[in-house]
Amino acid sequence: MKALLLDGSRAGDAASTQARELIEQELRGKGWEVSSLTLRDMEIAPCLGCFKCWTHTPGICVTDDAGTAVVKQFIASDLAVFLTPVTFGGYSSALKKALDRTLPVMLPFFRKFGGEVRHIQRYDNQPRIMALGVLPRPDPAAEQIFRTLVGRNAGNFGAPDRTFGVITGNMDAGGMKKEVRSLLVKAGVGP
Amino acid sequence: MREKTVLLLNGSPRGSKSTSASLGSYLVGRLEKQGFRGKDLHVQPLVRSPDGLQRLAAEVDAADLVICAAPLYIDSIPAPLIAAMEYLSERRKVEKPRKEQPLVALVNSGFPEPSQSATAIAIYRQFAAEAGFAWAGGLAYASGQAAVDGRPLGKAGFMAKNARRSLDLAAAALSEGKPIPGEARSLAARPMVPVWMFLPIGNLLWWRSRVKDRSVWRAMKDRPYEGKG
Repeated sequence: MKALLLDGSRAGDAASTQARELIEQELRGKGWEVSSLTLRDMEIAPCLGCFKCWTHTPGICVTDDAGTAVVKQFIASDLAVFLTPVTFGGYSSALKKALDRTLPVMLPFFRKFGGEVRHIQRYDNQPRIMALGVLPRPDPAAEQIFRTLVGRNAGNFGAPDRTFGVITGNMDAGGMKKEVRSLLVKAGVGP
Repeated sequence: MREKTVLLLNGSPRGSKSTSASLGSYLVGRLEKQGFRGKDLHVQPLVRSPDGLQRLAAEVDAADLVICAAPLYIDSIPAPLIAAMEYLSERRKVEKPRKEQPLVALVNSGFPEPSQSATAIAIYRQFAAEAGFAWAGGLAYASGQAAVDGRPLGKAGFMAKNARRSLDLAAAALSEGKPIPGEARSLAARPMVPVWMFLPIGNLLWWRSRVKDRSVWRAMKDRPYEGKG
């Protein structure tokens, strides 16, 4: 089983670093192949909004950079982990720059699904999505937006399942480990 | 009396050719008729350098009203505009704003349901709270891409009439220092292309009008990365 960990954290964020190491350890301990990408260090150009990945080179972004590698790995994964500081309730710009480039995994065509119009997926298999947000302190309003965003993403990516969790900077190591393990179990990574 | 300024932050990668520019420019134009001085900035080039970010922050600090206009990308805001918001938020924690600055968000999505933009509006609202702006409301436009496609809103015909009316109402309220009224939000929420018409247009006419190379028609559903990750 393959997992892709998209690390959208900022440099020097101790809680995110600790969470990432825990996720990697837990997954590898259960025999998963893990690819972790530190997005802040990657040159990923913004999506141009040109739609050429639909109309000129179907399934391939015209910008050939690290964003292309992210898309390839996303498609090949059984689990995609989004690790991010909860940023105004959403994702950090580092994570978002990678996700914006995933448009080629969808087709330009639409269907109605779950009461809403959505894009049809280009590929048969989509990874499950597990999102872990990091907040300096509890913030119910931001957490609610984050939860809704992850749910919407999972629907629009056609993910078979999604799990969501938030850790706070003041959590001790034991609390964080418990939260990460619980999240991984919900994501189907086994107890 | 000092002239008030309205700053449009265009978060679309397509800049002045975007539907975000169409919607934002129309609102700025209406506010100019109410006595505001309008200015617009394309965010994406500015976030590439420290100088660009500083210029962006200086323009935001000087504005009396800030409008963020951007398309819906992956249920949220395009990454370059989030990068600008991160910078502004951090900076304003250190250099507190010297005046009350209302913030407005315009979201245009390619889907026919305005509810799909609700999360992006919520993110803008949270940004306003964290960065010390006064939240003045958000307008979500559904299927704007199909109906407007970067044309000036005044030339976008009858399909954009509710969008124009919603922005007229928003401008009237904002010029009086009031938040965007519910009627403007309701008008904005009416899809520019009705849901029943959206699927045939989206699944046939839209891409046929854009795909000029017929060999691409046969490749539209290709899976170039299957088995390659």
